Amino acid sequence: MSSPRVLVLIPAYNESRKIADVVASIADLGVAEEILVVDDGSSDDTAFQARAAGATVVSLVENLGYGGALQTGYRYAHAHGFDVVAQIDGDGQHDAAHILDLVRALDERDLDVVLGSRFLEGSRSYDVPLARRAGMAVFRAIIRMTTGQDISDPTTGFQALRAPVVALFATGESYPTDYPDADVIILLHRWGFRVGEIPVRMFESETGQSMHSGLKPVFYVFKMLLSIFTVLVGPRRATPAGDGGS
Amino acid sequence: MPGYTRMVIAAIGLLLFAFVLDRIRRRRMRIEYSVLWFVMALGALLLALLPDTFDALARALGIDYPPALYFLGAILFLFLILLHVSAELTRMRSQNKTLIQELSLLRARLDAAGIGTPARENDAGEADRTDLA
Repeated sequence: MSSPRVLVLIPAYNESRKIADVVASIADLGVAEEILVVDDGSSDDTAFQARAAGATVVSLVENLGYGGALQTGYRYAHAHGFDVVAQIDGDGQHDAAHILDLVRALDERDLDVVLGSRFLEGSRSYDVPLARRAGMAVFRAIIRMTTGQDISDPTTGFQALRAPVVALFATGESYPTDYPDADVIILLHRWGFRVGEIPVRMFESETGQSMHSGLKPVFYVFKMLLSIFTVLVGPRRATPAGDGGS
Repeated sequence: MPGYTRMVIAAIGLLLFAFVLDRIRRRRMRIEYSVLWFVMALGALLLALLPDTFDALARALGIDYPPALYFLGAILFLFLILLHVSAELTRMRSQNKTLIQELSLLRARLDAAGIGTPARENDAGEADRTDLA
């Protein structure tokens, strides 16, 4: 792939103070053919700010949640024939410069999905609370057991995905509406896609409401375990033609 | 079982039957959702008409106190109805998500093409289908 058509996808919920900076910093990179902000039913002027900064904006008519907003972006990318989707959170916690690394890693390491990890060696990040760290360790262990692969940061919103993956996420029933996590990583493995990580720098979200906050942790763990179970008893699927499986 | 108890149970069954039938007639309940309610109404009628059969059935199942069987039956049916509702709700949420996504994408395309979209408030003027029934 010499120069893939890249869509940078930013799900955003009430990020009017940050979104313009995020869009501008991505535009400066020159890698994106188009920058798409999916405004997840914000009550502030996130959509206006994003549009003023030069992004294409799709405003969801009702709030769908993080995964629902992402999937809207996948549908857009799928419909417009993009080769690669690079997704980054709209709250400024990801260092946009890493988008170049993510997209490059797709080719250099021959991957279908590249995750930007805040825990890999070489990444610099903020401290994660102990309870959450414990939950992450559990899911990390489950991923290792089911896929034989070590993924240090399955919840990262900072990713690059190739078109075949985007197509399946866009149209399938399997993409979660709330928070993609270990279940999606295992799903990708079962479908024969290659997933890898690169270290990225992350900042603690500066605006008040990260989309990852406010979850009831116990319910979340229960939900995720069930979701992983669903994936594990679900069908294996061959990778679409043109992309090798594992 | 005393006669007046049987009459009350029969009345409940008949009322449920009439109520569900009326909902269907007014297009307030889809026929496929009415089936379980009809079975419930039928169960009440059968219980009122043939209490001895139910008592015998309870004893055959090892239940010393026959009314416990009626409650068990009612609870199981409510269970089925709730499971059915959960399944329908899940299906509708999935459809709803797809609709929100596709509508929002379409709206963005219209805006980009400068066609513009009609005002969001469209609460007025929804036809009441009961008038056609």
